[in-house]
Amino acid sequence: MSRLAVRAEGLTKTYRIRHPDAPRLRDYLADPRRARMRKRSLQIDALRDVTFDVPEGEVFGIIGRNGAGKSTLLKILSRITTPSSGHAMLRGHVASLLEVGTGFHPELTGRENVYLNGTLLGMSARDIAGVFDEICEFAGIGSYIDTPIKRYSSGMQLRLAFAVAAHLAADTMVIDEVLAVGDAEFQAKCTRAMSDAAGRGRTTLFVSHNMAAVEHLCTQAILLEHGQVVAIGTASDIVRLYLERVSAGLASGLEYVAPPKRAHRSPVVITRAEVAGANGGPPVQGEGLVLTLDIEARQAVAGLQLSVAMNTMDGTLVATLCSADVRAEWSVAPGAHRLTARLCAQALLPRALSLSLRLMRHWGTEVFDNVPGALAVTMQERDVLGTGVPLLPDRGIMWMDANYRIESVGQG
Amino acid sequence: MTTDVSAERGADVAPRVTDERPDDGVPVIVIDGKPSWRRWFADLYVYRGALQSLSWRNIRSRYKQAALGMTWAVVQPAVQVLVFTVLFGRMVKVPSGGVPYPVFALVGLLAWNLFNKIVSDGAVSLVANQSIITKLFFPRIYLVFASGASALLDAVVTAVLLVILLCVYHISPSARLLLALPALTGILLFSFGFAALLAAINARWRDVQHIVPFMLQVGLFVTPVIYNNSFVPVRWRWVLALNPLTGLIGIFRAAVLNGPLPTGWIVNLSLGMSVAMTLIGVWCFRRSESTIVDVV
Repeated sequence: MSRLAVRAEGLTKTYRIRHPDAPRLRDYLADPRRARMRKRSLQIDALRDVTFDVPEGEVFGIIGRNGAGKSTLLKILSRITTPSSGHAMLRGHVASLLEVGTGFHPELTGRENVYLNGTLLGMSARDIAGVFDEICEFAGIGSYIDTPIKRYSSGMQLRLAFAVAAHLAADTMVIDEVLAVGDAEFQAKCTRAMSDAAGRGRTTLFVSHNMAAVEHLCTQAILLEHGQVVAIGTASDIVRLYLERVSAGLASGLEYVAPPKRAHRSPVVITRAEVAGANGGPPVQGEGLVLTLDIEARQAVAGLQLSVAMNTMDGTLVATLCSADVRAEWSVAPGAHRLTARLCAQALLPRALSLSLRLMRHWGTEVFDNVPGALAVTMQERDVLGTGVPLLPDRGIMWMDANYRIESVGQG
Repeated sequence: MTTDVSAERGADVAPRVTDERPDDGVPVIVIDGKPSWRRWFADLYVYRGALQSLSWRNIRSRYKQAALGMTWAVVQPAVQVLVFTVLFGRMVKVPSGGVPYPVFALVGLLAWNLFNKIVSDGAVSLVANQSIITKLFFPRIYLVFASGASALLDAVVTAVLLVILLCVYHISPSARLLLALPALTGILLFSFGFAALLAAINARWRDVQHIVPFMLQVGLFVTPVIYNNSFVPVRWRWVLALNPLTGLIGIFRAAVLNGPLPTGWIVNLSLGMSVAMTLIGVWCFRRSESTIVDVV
């Protein structure tokens, strides 16, 4: 048995949040006896008794739907928050990448930001100086390195941020969804960097909604549901189990409710989302989909856009729709709003799809809220064409209408 | 093979890692509800680079994109001295113990502004950096320390101004200047301790960041910064002594201007209180540190 890099035993995280009907100060003043009888707080178990071991050098995937406790688990393992009970042990220096470029300051130059980000990730100034040239080369920033990064394009900022992350010298890495950002080329670069890291015997814990990436990169995986461990095993087994549960509707979600502890610093966030068939019933093949989003604006936002990305469960991107494609963008006042989107999804075959939602501005240069894999939907099978031979997923992802004609072009 | 979790837990074959330093010398980090003090100090060392770069960030970003840049660090104390000299030196005629009032005021303001900036920036440091602390682990107290960096830089600039003023008025310091060291140490201990305490409370109750500016505004007038102890009737001086800055600024002023030291018990009390504030501040900060991210 090889040595363990990570050992988690009975990790539990309980959040105490304010009860919606909790008495306020004025209730105490008005009727203290009744106010005292009302419930003041709710306890929410974000993680319940999670136990697992990760041998050294392993790439360990953590999968599960939104709100299953993945992020909480990563936050505990990267020591951002402490568990309510249970404990974990990690060997060696641990670096966590819950986001790339944390701490980047727009007024500082590229060089200064590399040092700031690197030291926050636990590197010493000497470590950074040692790999500084490699970082610059990886990022392809060139002579811009001494320019404040507010003058960089968002792509350049991202490349610089990932370059720092890729050159982290840590024994154990904790990575969350970093691959979900950037273009295809960039994602490929990140994937390569991750497999290289694994090849060097670095232990990696990896959370992703991209099942193809999990299956490709990870050796072992754990499936979480409602804060509890459902299964631990080889990555391919766990991914298969997850996909089965999603298509069986067990892990699925025609509805998404933002976890109550979700950080709410953004001017506008999605609080709830729901997907239904065109007539409000369950989604049926050959009909459209209706997406309903409850959003909450903390301040007035102009030029708000919605983007919906559809993926198959193995991570293949089917389509990305942006409201601005059809010139739809909104100015919202502070408060709650309901956004409805009718998707012309008639061509989709009855296959499990995940929908990622994003509230943004200027075609995504400014992202307010991003919920990868918020919803999962599988159309109910129906003989759309009336041929008696239903269109099933073995035909692909979608079906399209066509005109056929045959004519004679010569005699045989 | 997919393993059933309950079976997995029953067959506990792997050796349990319990030691902080197993045989091969690779440190093991233990994560549980209550991290040890030893771990806390070890992290301060491991992440020392973070303190350096966070301080640098605060200094660099402070006067960025301001046409006058660092000049503001000179203008602010200069204008303060000018206003107080006219108001208190000329109009109210506050006694300054035979020292020209501008010098008298600038010495006090150097110490006060140092305290003022550390506390006002430090108190909001956790909230202002919540996007970082919710994504990364590093010793959170470094945010409080780093927010004092620009305050220290401003103090250095003010000190240069003070030296110029001392030359103008032909005041030469004596060996007593050495006492400035314990005085400044006391001020820093008190300021950082107080800032850490406020930062921890502010993470949960944002009321703090509304109270602090107001409290500091009042503080400037209830602390002998722009006036002397002798301005206050003898029977009320003990009230002033409850404020550790009274003693600390008193020592600092005596050191720079070669004046009389405050009474012995005031000196001891103020130094004692600043050490106590550091301990209280750090202790409270650490107590709330583990859950700061959940409540911030």
